[in-house]
Amino acid sequence: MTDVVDDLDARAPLPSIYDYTDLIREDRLDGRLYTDPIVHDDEFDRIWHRGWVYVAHTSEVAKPGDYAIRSMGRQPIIVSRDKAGDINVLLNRCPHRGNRVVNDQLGNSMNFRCAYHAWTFTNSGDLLGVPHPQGYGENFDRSKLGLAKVPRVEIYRGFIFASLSPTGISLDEHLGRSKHLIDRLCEVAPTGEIEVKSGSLKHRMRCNWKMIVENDTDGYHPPFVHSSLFKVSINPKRAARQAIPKPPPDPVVRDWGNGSGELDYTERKRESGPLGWLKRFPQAVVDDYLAKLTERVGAERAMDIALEGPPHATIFPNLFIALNNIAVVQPLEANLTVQWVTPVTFGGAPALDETIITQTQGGLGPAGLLFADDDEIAERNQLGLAAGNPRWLYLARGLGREELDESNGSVVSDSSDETSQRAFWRRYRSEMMDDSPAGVVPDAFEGGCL
Amino acid sequence: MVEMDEMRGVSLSDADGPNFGGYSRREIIDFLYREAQLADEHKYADWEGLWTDDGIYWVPVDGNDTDPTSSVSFIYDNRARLRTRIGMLLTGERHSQVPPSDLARVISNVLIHDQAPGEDIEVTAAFVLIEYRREHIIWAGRVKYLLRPTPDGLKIALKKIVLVDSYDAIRKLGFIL
Ligand code: FES
Ligand SMILES: [Fe+2]
Repeated sequence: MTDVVDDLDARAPLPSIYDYTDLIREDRLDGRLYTDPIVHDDEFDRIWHRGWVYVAHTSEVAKPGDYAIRSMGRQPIIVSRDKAGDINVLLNRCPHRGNRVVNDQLGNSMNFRCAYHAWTFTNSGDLLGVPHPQGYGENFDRSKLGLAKVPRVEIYRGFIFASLSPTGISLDEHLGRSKHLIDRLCEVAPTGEIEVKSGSLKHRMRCNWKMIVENDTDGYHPPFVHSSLFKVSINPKRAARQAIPKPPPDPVVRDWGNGSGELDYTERKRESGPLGWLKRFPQAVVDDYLAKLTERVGAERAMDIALEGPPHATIFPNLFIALNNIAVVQPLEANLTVQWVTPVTFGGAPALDETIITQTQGGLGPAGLLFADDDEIAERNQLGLAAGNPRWLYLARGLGREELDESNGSVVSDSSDETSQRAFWRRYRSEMMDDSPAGVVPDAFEGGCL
Repeated sequence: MVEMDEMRGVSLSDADGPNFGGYSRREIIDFLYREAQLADEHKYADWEGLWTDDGIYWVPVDGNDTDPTSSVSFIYDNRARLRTRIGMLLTGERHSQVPPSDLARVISNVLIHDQAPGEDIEVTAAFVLIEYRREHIIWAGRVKYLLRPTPDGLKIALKKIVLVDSYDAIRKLGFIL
């Protein structure tokens, strides 16, 4: 098997013209972080082509032969399930002359054949045959000319992560506490397993990818950016009936370390009853769901899960769990990003599927009642940042009122505070400052400060 | 404009020709043009008035054949959600349409399909739309309508728009397609 990073191995350190501790300060950011193509190239070297990146979910390639094409940074990849049922992450690049071998977004095949000169590979990447092999002479070694394998692949509860560096921190070290965010999503399924089987909305935006990730857990903007939705969806009759409205519990924002942030409105969700975070379902649907979940986790835990639902949180660098959705950013240029939004359904609870799909397409994606407006704001942000000078953006909101939540070790603050953004930037800075080919263990958790 | 219609392959005599649920081909095509114009000009309330109470406004992903109940769509609005969508535009605070994009669309290749008496009239067409929002953005696709003859005139019971790039990433879609 060809080693994809033959040459990368020899390529340390990775010099940059920037000192990222200068660009990223405790309370401010240099605007060039979003606009400069050099920063963007550094990110490919240090984050997308070195560190752990979420690539796909195992249920998207559920059966032997299933495959999906994706990308890691600039690299085109194939995620496939082979005959033995194992997951492979391969470079989608023919070792002969570089043709992109697999071109359908999704499919099922045990073999891949390059269209250019018909070299044929197994779906785990081995070269099966080439036309007229005698032309290569006697020392032609097929075993060295397979599709290159992405050197490290690890799966956590069906979430496939890959790293283009052959050495470096483990997925466990990369995720740290954010593993529990994936757990909180999976636990909602009566089977304990989510399913990704309902397609994706792909959304192209003229903005930097980091702006999207930061906005995902930004609790400051919704009343302003989404005011049109709030105005039309508040039902005046219902509001009038609640003569003295009970103030809902305030959401909070959390820094989980390792670059992960959460906009946590668990307490507010609990007020809406079991499954209320998704929709007010008929009692029979709720009872059936609770009964199935109880079989796996017991009645008390089942009720808690039904009340709290999945989190609203980002995992560095590209994964956003938005309740029953997975959103993934794919950087193209400093000012161009594609975001995939994919509804997640819950194993053992098919009665929820249609509602989940309806909710996803209502709020999210390019036409979403929420996301279309986030997009417009992000694009205008990119236009404003073109100014370049003055240099600084202000990232200090809530710096003085963050607290350690002793119950779980996160740093917590008012939902409007920039705590989760500072979490992202702290991780980002440690990746960007590291010149080794392998990547570093994220900074020890040190609160919300950069 | 008789000449223009002739270029489209619609002759004047079509106006008196086959009858589709009580409407001539000419009346049906005029209805589509009017709908296109209201959408281009952001006359949201008038546009919403063209719909039946059970109307479905649908922009699928991944081509023509996806099942909207088991697979996600860019848009799959029932009447209530369409009302919300329009209501948001009417607040003047739907940022993705502040200010409204400048739009011009051309609808053509209109075919009116045979229909059983009492059924909705199925019409298919192709369209090209240029959006100007800081840059030119091209939208194109095939569209299928189900039009219902009602005492208040024709109403849209279904508008399904299959974009040419429905498999790919698209730009934000805050306006009415
Ligand atoms: S490039 Fe693939 S066979 Fe030649
Ligand atoms: Fe938002």
